[in-house]
Amino acid sequence: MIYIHKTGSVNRKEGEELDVKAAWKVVSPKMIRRTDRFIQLALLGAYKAVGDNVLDKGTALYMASGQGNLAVFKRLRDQRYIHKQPPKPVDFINSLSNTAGFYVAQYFGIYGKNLNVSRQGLVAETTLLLAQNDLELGKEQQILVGGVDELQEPVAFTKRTLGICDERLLGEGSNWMLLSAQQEGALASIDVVKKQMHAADVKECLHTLDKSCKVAFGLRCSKEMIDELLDGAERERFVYEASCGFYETATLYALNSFINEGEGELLFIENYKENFRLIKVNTLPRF
Amino acid sequence: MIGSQDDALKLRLKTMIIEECEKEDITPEELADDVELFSDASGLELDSLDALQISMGLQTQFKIRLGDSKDFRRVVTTINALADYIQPE
Repeated sequence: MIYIHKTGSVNRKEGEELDVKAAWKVVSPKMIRRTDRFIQLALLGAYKAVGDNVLDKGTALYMASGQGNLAVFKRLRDQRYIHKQPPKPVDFINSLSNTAGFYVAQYFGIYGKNLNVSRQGLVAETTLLLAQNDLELGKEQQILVGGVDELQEPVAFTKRTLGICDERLLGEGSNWMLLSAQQEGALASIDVVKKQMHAADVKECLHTLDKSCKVAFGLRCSKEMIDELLDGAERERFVYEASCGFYETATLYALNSFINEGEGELLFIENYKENFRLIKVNTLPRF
Repeated sequence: MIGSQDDALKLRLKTMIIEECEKEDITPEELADDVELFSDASGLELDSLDALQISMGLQTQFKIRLGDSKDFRRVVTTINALADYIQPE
């Protein structure tokens, strides 16, 4: 079993405003140079989780992202092919895959393993599973896990790329949690179910689940899919969707929201192309 | 007019350097015309990556292409010197 010790979220839904630079200036008077909005978003979310606390130097950092820092690649493309200029040195450096993770680690003074996980579909779930495995195997003592995705314009194109229907609003966010195998002082326990499931397995799981356990569904689950999975079963739902547009790592927002607002047990279900991942979170008494 | 006497040009150069190097806590007015940009006295705390950024800024905003680091060190010393290089008369 692994435990969540701190959580922090920055979340914006399509149509809302989020001035990341201004928000960062509120928490830290010193602007970190050579960072773009994606990196600043990562820093802000991580700061919301860690604050001014000093982390153990050996803390690892696993950062998930569905699209990565796509904006920097757009800038590099424009510089090269539209303006016919060489890339700006800072943009070139920031196009490396885990630059955001580097800046977060540097800010908090942590020198552990620094991983960047990027893929379409279930990226937060697989990153959490990786963290869980490494903690359970004793490979890491503490891991700062985050998910960062920046909303890309034009929205219609991004929806098509992500495979999201037109009705679903997009969003962006930077959601972080500090995980360890130690229970003392933890906010919640978390168990990422290792087995990837099909709909029939999920149905069975839902029918055998304790009645007191709330259920939440990922933003890739359509209403029809949810109805089919519940199959008429009465389940108390944890609803976070009203404040969250779609982005690949929104799972971490849902889990953080439950820990901050909810109480008890939550089963979170997400899928990609009908392959399902389940995460159980159980809040612990707070003193 | 020689560049070091052109206040508008010098303001553009200072603004470009501050923006390219993200030194937003320094205003163009605080940056003296005759101080060595890459010295402690400038207060800018510039490094080699800043030099690359400034080089790119000169290329894109002033159409000045500095061939190599030797050229850069020769030209980008003070704001006055840089202004004179861009606008010799």
